Amino acid sequence: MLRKFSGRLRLRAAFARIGFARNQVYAIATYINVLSAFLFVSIQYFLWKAVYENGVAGTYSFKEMLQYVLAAEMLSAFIHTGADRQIGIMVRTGSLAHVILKPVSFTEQIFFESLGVNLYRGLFVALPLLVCSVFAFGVEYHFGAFTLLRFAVLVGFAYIFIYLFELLLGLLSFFSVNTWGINSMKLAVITIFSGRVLPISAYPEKLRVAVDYLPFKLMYFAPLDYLIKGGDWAEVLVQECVWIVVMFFSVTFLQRALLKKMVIQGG
Amino acid sequence: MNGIIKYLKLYGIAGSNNLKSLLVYKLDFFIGLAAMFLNNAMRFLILVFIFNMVDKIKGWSFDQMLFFYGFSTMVTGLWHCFFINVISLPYYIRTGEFDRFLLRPVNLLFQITIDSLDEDGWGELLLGIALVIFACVRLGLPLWKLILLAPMAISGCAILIAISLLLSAVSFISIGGVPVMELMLKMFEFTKYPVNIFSQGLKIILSCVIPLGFVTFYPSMVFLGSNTLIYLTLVPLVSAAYFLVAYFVWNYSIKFYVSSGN
Repeated sequence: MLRKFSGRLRLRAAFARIGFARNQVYAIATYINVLSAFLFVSIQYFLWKAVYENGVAGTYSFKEMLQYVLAAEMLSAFIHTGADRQIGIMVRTGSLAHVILKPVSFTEQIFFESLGVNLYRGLFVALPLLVCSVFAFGVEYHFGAFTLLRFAVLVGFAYIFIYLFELLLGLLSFFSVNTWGINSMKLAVITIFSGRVLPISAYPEKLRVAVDYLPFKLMYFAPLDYLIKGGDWAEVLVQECVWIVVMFFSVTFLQRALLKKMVIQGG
Repeated sequence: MNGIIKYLKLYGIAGSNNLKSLLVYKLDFFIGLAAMFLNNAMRFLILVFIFNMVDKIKGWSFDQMLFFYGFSTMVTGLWHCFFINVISLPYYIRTGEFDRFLLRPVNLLFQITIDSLDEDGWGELLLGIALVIFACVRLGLPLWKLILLAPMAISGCAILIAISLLLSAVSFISIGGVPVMELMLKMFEFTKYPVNIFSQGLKIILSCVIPLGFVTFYPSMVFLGSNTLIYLTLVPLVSAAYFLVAYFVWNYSIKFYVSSGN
């Protein structure tokens, strides 16, 4: 019994290692990743510097805005799982039918591989970015250990939500066949509703209320706002759990529906 | 004259082919088109939110910033629509498809350009044009200046093409390929804002070394600034010069790479 468990654990770890190793081949690509992220952060730095020059009565001070922008860019390096892309490929090449019928869970494989990939990106993209930006722009971070720990938990749960969300998108691409449309829509949605570029507390009142009902803020704004501004950590966690459950059932439901459809069509 | 007609015809055929292959996935196409428009509109909305907080940024009003943003979106949209395939060069070389370009009696760059006309760019281009026109109206610009939009946009685009040529020329030295697209997109960000928000050193780099300033900022000064004539002559000259240099470098590195037996 224990052997079976440790066997499966090793299998999952192997997936993670594959994901990690796969990225190591593209060293130059990684440098470019860091460079482009750094360029983006620097644009934001100058923009916000110019904005705050005239004094701004926003909820975020200039320093906090810098912290937000840098942290958001770092997060974006390693919280996307690529599940939608991988499933999209399977849909397009038609191998989805085979994979879904196999006993070994392909969804697990995607998840653990993504962990490996993102561990790599966390270490080799986000960390260098942090170092360069702190050095270049004097961004300061002062956090207690507990805050950081709770932040990590929030990010962890957000990761699970993102994974399920991208899984859902990938499965949806079965209906539109090509992934480009869904992918573009995903980008649009994330840009505005997740607080990727601007903290949602800077949005006008009416929009802020609407965005609050959507789960996307849990990807960037909710954890980041907790980290920088503090607030009710448990409340964010509860929301994340709720949405994870919603996503989980949506994915399961869609998977079953697809399976039925594929069986009827003959794969 | 004959040559131009030939190229125009080729362009038309290639364009309609691309469109046809895309319309096969009809639903997805329209979702994507809407999404691209939405995506760009959202990023513009963020600018609006920022201006909720403040009146001017480094002396520029909202309408002026809107003009910069719209003009930049228009120019990058142009590049996205028509010239994005330039960065696929490493792919062609690696898969060996490159040879079929060499065999044809048509200009090399032209062939690569028309081989794939990206659908992504249309939402961006349309939004850019809409924003620019909106800004022009709000700024109360005289009509005759509007005629200058097209040539200024084209010369701005020439710089983008030049940069993508240079980047793709160096990118095939790496086996895994270089994520040129990602780099280009981040560079586009620089063009959305007036150059004077950046530090002195960066300003010089953006004006002289990697002339992203000439994509949006300096062409925009034709419309927003007072010394129109100076910018009007300077911008196309710089664009043309930079483009020619980039083109020759690109041509040379291809010949060099191909002839070394790869």
